[in-house]
Amino acid sequence: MQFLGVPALSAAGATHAGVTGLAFAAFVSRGGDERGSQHSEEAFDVDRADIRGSIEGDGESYRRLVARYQDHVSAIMWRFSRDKQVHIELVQDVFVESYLSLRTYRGDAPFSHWLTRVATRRGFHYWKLRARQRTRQETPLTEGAAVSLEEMSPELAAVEVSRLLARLPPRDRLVLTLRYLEDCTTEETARRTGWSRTMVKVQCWRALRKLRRITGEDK
Amino acid sequence: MRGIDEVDEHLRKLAARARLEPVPHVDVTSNLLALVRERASAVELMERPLRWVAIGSASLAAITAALALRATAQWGDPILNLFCLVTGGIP
Repeated sequence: MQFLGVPALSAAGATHAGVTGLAFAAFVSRGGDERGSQHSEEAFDVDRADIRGSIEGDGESYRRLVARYQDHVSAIMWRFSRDKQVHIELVQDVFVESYLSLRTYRGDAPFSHWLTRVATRRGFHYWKLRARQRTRQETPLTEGAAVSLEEMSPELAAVEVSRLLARLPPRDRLVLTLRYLEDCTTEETARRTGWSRTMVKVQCWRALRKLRRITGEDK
Repeated sequence: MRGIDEVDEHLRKLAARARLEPVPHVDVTSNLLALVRERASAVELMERPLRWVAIGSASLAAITAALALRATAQWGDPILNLFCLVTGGIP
């Protein structure tokens, strides 16, 4: 089957994902028993049908999936880049990457969880690339530094957090972004990053210590 | 210098405020399918030369192994004898 001229989840896509491509078939046959409580049965079935359609090469199925989850992915990627152009590119990248590795989705959790992990990985990769390209580029101080927290607008607060965290290495930045900005628990952070819970706690502690040192140096 | 708890508290309050910020709406459905097509063919193109490299190096390894075996069979004894003659044998 073809997806606008592309062999449906072709060998290239499957190899790119590094899987044999049987995970989804197993999921369909067992009916996806472990379901997230937030996701209703109906929504889960709709997702499952669209995922199956996408794997079989139906472009319209994938378009529906994208339309359903683009706001969710957009919210995640906004934490990784506040540049609107880069933000759009990151959102696109997440959906392209998720299409190419759709067969790795095993269906034992809601699709949004899987997509969230793909998005986090993509965002982290973007930060790592940027960190390699620039050498200690200092972000300028914003007016947020002079305004009290109560008077600060949400936009200014978001810029201020982003400015603060941008001074950390990507791993530290990621863990603090997830724990504070995304308000994830240790378990959720571990799930999204693929790290162990202990690793998340240790990384978070180290990141806070670095941040303390940086803000201390500023004073 | 601030303590860790102070940094934690400051960051918590700042992040709580930042979460209220509306996220810009994006619509990527229009050109996504074209991008997918482009990327999938790029991945496929990237893999094709790699496949040839893998085949080439496997063939080279097989030929080298065959030549090495033949050389050992033909020259192994004379070389060992020469070595023993020069060094006085293996201790």
